[in-house]
Amino acid sequence: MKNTFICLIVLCAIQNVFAQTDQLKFEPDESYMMNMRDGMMGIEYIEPVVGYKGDPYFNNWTNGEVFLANGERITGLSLRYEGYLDQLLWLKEDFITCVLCKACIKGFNLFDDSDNIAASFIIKKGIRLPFENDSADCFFQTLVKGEYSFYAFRRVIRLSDVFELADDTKYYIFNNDHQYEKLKLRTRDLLNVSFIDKTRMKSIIESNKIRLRDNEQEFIRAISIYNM
Amino acid sequence: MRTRNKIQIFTFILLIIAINDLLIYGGSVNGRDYPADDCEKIFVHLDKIVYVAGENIHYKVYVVNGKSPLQVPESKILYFVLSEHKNGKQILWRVNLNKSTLHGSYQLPESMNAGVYELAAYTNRIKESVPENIFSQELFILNLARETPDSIYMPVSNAVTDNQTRLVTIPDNQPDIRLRASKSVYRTNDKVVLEINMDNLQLNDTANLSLSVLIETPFSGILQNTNIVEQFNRYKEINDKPFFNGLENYAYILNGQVLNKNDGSPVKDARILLAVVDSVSPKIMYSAADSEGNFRFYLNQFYDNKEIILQLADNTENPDILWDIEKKSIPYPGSSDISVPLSTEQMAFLNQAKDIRLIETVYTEEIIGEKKPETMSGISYFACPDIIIVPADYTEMVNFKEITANIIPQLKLKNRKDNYYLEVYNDSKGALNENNLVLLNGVPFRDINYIATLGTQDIQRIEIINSSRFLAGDLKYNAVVSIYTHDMKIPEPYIKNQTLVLQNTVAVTDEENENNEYVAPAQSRSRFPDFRSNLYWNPDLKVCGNNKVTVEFTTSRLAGKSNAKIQGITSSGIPLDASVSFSVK
Repeated sequence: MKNTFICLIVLCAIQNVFAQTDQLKFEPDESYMMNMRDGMMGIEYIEPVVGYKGDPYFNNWTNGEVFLANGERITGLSLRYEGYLDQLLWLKEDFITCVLCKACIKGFNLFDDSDNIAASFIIKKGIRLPFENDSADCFFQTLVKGEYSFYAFRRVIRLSDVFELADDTKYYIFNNDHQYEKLKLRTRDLLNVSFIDKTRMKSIIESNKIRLRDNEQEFIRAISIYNM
Repeated sequence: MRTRNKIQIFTFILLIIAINDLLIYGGSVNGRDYPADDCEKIFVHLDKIVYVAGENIHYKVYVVNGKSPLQVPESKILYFVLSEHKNGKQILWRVNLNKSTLHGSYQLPESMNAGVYELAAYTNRIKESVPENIFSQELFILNLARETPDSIYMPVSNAVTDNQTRLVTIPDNQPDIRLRASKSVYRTNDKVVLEINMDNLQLNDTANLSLSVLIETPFSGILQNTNIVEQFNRYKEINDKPFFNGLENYAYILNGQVLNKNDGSPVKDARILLAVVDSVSPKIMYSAADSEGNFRFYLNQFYDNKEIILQLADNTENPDILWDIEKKSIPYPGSSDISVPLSTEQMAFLNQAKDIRLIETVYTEEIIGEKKPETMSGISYFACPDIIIVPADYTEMVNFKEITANIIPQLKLKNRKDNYYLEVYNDSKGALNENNLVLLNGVPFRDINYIATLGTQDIQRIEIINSSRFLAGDLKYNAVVSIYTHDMKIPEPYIKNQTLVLQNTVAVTDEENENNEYVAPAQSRSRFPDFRSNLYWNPDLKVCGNNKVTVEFTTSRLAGKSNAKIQGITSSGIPLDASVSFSVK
């Protein structure tokens, strides 16, 4: 009897929480989303590198959502990130692979089988890439989001001499003032970032026994703790 | 023991109710299973009820969700329809609705007939519920260029007598509003002070209000003025009513049907392209009609106040078609209108209103609003062309054939049976192909004979996407050729024969305008003759907690009994209404 009452009180409390969150923004209905999906445009994807070992894709076809530059969101798309061209691919219902226009996209999320976000990418504008004179707009995978954000540019390059496609991921750290620095996965690079407090970061690394060398997860851990 | 069993059964029932409520709320959070009967309540407060054609109707709109008044309204598009009694002629306009309240103005067309009109306001959701949920208010509109009528057409009184109408009981501790004038009698051109007080308003609660002060008209018995409390109480819930025309909770829905011109039968699976003339990049949308020829476009704010051009995609059959576009208006039940003769007093008042409007027209300065920045249209691939050519960079060429032959080797303009067609070289296929999307100033354009006449003096630039096939819905084009001319025009015969043009008009609201008060001419511009019958209008008054707010204005040169009327809602959606009268001698 007592337990039932407790259960009742807990349920009422949860109900009140939901009643409060009821003020959230409305989601568009499915007919709207279907109409948006049906009306999407792009160009057919043609594999840019043929006869090379390996592939340029970050993921297999997975369910995802795209955030457009105008604030709209399109869900329920089969998406794949292509690292060689730095383009977002969409598998249409007629199984034609389509390249979506980078200029219209603000970012995208890829989901896992349980519908949790597996990877989140955003467009970073005006990034200066190594060995290139002009700056470019690139898809960056968000690894840590906060006062100091950590991103991976999942680039794939072509090794012509061995006919192979190779992962050439570059890492970038940004602060809230849009300053950024490119770094390699090593302690020295992280400590030398101009807008990072070297002493504080050093103590975080030591006290948490973080091994940074070539370890993306540990980098994520270090920057996440630094953000706290 | 029996009592204990009863308590257990009672507790179990309570538990079931709690779980049920929890599931309902859980559904509403993700937004997909929102209760179908959660309609919206609407009220519109107008600055006055007698207008002259060409004048602005100033309004404040209050929209709350019927069951969840704390929530912003689900609908994002609000419609106004002004229907003329006697002949049912309608004027429809719409505004974008982003929160529970908005205010703005609408300029009445100069050509309107004099007479009584019904102003209705609704969202798509309200329209599909029951007529009682639609806001309506009778107005009198005069025309400076026409005689004042000696009788008017009015609907037979349709007071709400339905017993099922849900009346809300107002508990004792509900927020209430009081309005008090500093004096009961004022002189002409005198300063009036009105005090607004709130009772029982929570400390963190805010009342969003609008205030109008009008010299009383001899029409108060005929043009009944509703108030927000009455209107909200008139609201009826709808139960499990099917919802046909879509919720405009994200964008404006442009929907309609494609029919064969010959027999009126629907064009099955028609593929439709929507475009607007644009000098930067094409803003095209694609939609496929269903087996009944029904199609739908969701237009975001980029398309507001633009000319929308609809046409079938080039490879769709059935060129002879009719477009039946959903007008979004409500039917006008004009059959019950009766003629009512006007009294001498009423005629005199209307003539005076016309004279005042004439004076205001002469003295009022036009204020030009700032243009709002444009939003982007959506997702397309036109922003990333493979080739951009500006013909002016080259020597002059008189027609498109010369341009393609000399400076664009990827394009071939060919002639077949006296008709030109365009072939484009596709990089991925390594061949020339005819199935291309040709755009003129952002609009799909199939008249290649016209394109063939364009020379370097006409063309501003040419953009080509030919690295791969262009995909739009289930349409597949070998390439895209986008031509921009200096005059940014689409030839009239093409528009007339191949397309349907719609003006997507959206009235601007005052959201960015911080000063919404009527500026009393006597205060600011003393050389102006001041004959205002509307002494004060402020659509954006806010009172926090139980604070007091005072407003000041001057009376005009008109004498008579004046009514101040305040309407509003608290942030928890409770309607507020108060009024006070004073005399001007």
